[in-house]
Amino acid sequence: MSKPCIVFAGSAFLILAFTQIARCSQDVVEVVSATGKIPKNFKTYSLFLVCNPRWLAPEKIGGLYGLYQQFEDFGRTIGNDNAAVWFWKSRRHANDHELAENVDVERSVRFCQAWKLKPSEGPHLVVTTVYPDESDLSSGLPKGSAVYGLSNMSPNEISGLLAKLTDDLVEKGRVESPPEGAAAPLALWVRLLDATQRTINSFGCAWTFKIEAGPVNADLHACKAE
Amino acid sequence: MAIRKWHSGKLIILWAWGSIAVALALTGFLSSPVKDAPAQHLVEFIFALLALFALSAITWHWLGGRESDGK
Repeated sequence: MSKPCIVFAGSAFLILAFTQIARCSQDVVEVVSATGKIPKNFKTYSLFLVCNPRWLAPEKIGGLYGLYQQFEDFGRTIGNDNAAVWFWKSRRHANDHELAENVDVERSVRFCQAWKLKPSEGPHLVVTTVYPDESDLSSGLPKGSAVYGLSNMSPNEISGLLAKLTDDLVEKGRVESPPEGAAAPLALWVRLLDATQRTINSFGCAWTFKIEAGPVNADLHACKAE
Repeated sequence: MAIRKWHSGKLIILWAWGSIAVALALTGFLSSPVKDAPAQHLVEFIFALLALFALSAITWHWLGGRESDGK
């Protein structure tokens, strides 16, 4: 192999290695200071946006810290290709008394305004495959983004949601948008049809078919038991 | 004298094909959540119901009933 080729291959290997090391350390992206940029080159970005003033009240500090811890665990388990972004104003211990003041709410509010997220439904978790470019927020929420309002969720429910999102991100590399139907009530005929389907399904699961023929036994169930 | 006479061969053919059509429609209806495609599920369900009604009507009207045993 010629010398330039060896030099080129060595350089490429070193660049690749350093890039991977840098990415490994960025699973939980804590963007500190108002000018800190969200790093690029991730497949998905999970942004945690605190726009709800109720979550900044002193009595909510414990809840907010718990939320941060859950989000940190989420960021560590979603893999190197997916970034979990949390905005801080300065680098401090997350569990200090000024936790709420240290959260960069103003930056979150810019996202909430541009993406038309109701602060009262927050904190919000937005999962997107498009880089959240803060210089171009006016273009709106990227298509295919999944938005979750956590205001009415208990810590257990949030934990369950983050576990489901982790599954989706690790298995599929993306997150399905929450169904629109979850927000809008379904029409009466759709609910009736849904009830009919469930009734037929439950009826279909009620029977079993058994064959006992000496050494051969077969047991056929309509539905697999959960 | 009137006797009840059924065209058993025609009945078997009619209900065999009809059952396949209804089974396919019901399979489509049951295989995915209604919320995913409500209109499609409605069509499948109505088709299954109408097909059963149609089979019953054809059976009742043309394939069975009292007939005279006179030549």
